[in-house]
Amino acid sequence: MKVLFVDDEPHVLEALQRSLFQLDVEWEPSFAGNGAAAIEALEQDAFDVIVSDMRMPGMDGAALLEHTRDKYPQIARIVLSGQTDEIAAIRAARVAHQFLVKPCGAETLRRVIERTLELSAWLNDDALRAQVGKVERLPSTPRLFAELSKLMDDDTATVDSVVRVVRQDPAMSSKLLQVVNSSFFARSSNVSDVRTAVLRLGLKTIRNLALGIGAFDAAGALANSAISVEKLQQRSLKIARLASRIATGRDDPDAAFMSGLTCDIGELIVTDPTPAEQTEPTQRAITHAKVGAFLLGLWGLPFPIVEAVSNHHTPEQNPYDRLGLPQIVWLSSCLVHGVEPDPDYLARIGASNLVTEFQGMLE
Amino acid sequence: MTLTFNHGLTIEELSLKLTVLERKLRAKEKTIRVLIDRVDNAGSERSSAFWVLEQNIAMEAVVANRTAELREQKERLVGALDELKGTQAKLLQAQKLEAIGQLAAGIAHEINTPAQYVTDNTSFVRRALTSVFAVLDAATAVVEAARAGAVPPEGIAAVDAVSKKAKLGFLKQQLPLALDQSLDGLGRISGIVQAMKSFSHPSGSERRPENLKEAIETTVAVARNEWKYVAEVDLQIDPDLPLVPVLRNEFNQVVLNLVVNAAHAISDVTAGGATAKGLITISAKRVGNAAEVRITDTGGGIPMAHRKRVFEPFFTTKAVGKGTGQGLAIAYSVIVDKHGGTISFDTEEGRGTSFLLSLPLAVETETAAAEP
Repeated sequence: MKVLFVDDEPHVLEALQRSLFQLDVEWEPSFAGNGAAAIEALEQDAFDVIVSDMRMPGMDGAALLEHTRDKYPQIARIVLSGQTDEIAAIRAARVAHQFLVKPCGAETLRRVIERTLELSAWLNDDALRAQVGKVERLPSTPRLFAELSKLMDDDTATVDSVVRVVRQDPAMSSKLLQVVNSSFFARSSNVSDVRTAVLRLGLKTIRNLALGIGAFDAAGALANSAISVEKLQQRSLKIARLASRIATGRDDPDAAFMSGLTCDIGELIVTDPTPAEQTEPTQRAITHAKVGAFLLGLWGLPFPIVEAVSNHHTPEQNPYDRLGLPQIVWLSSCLVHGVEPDPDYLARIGASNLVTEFQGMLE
Repeated sequence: MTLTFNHGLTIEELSLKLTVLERKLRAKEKTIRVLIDRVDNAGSERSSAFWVLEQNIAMEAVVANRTAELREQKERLVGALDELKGTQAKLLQAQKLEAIGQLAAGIAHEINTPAQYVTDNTSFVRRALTSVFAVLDAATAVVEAARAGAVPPEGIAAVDAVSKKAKLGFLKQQLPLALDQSLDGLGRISGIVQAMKSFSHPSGSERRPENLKEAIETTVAVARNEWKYVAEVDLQIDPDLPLVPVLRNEFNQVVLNLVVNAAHAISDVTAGGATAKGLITISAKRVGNAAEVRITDTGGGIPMAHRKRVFEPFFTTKAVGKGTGQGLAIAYSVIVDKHGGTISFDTEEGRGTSFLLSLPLAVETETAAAEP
């Protein structure tokens, strides 16, 4: 595992180097003092993660990360910047998977890097990883995208009206959670729901995201004809609502809603039908779950959501035999799809006699 | 930006009020003139002494009444004028705040970079100390044992083990560096804070002899984040330059505006510093009875069509949010109106622009400065 750090301030790199050596990290750090040196390093070595400063003389961080995205999409991209303006932060959210703010302690940095490295282990396919790495944004349903655009032009739009629209769309919801969970906006706690995200970011920032940066996009040229973004959105919303109802009193209903809403975003990323057709449907679904979870993980969404998405077809991979978040999303997905949940596993998690009740929660 | 005053009026409303008051004043004057005329005319027609007396008494009452009204209006007019003067000062202050606001993001960046490595180094030293103390503890135990007569072999093995784990050689080499670089970082942070303080410290309304070298260095430091990615700054301040009587605060603001403009001009021709680095040269020297400050950039120059308008308020070619078109207008007002100096520029398209400020070394009296 190799990580490349890029910063134009030599003291920053030296301090990082000595801290990482002392912390005895299990991966190998490399250092580059500018964009050109970083590009050379990328050509010579295979890296897993790049951590770059934003403002640098010559090639700046944004250009370097764009280059990385285009040539080495499998490398996870993290920004470590001293900038404090919001526009810079949300612009970085386009080319980088995560945005860290200076000063950021070596231990925090290490945690973020190691979490990112762990994610790669989940998705064991280089080609798929590269495909995910290229994704800046996901397609939204044209209807919801148009509704949000209208709200963004309206100075009298309220938080409630924005939340109502965004919350129905897997693509807009996950992008908003990426931005709000970047260390630029994040305070102590992780944000798992759209309402908190909208309140924390404020409508002005969301306008900047939507209009200035173009963080959202309607499905169009992006969408593959094989899948209907609209259908996927409506199905996901059903899963989200059911998951949140089941989770009420059992787990975190907000995280359950978000996990349900995003559990199938992998289908929006891996849209090439040819290899998928050759594999059996179950395997394809599992791959989609892993792909979606990988992207959400790269974007720094709270771990329970990432894990629930990843295991929503394979709940038995969760170490706990109980009705937790992955199991709730799995059950909701089964019920919405009209698939009978595996009775043995249901018995194991003690949910055999709850299915009828849950079925009743489905509108 | 809208400025409001004690009465809650904006500058536009205030000047409107002034016009109305002036018009009223003229109307009153006219009334009095008509009255006087009427008395004169009446006098020629009916000249009985009693009638004249009667008219005079009536006139006196009218005139007294009008005079009181006039006095009151004059006072209001003077008050309004004072407020207008205040407005100008506030406008200048507002532009300064705006400039500082634009700099704030850059200054935060300037502080966050050293904060990053000071933080890393400090945690490094803290963790290193824990390992060093572990070595010391093991070594002390061996010394104690030796003092008691016999060192058990496991004591020595323990010292070896913690020493190895502590990476003592690495720590010996890195600890002094970590501390030196942290001190350097803290120096940079306090330097920028100091410069910020000195830059924005109110300097009063009287020109006072100031060290221009210090003032220019401060301003260049405050604006560092604006130029460092696109240009080098070369300071050529003549050591023989005497103290120059200036309003330090206003002078700083002029230099800041010119340096930021120079950086923007260079940024425009180097794709934000990606293709090459430009040069900003700031020189200051004495020429006769004046101090000359020259700020030269290697940007794209000012196009012919814009040259006549650069000092106009609100004239800008910068993108929205990058400039309000006040910078050079303020520079002109500060240098010419407040210091009795001159400001001019040479420019060549494709080569750059050079602004020349000339400040008189002797403070002239108020009246002398006002007259050409």
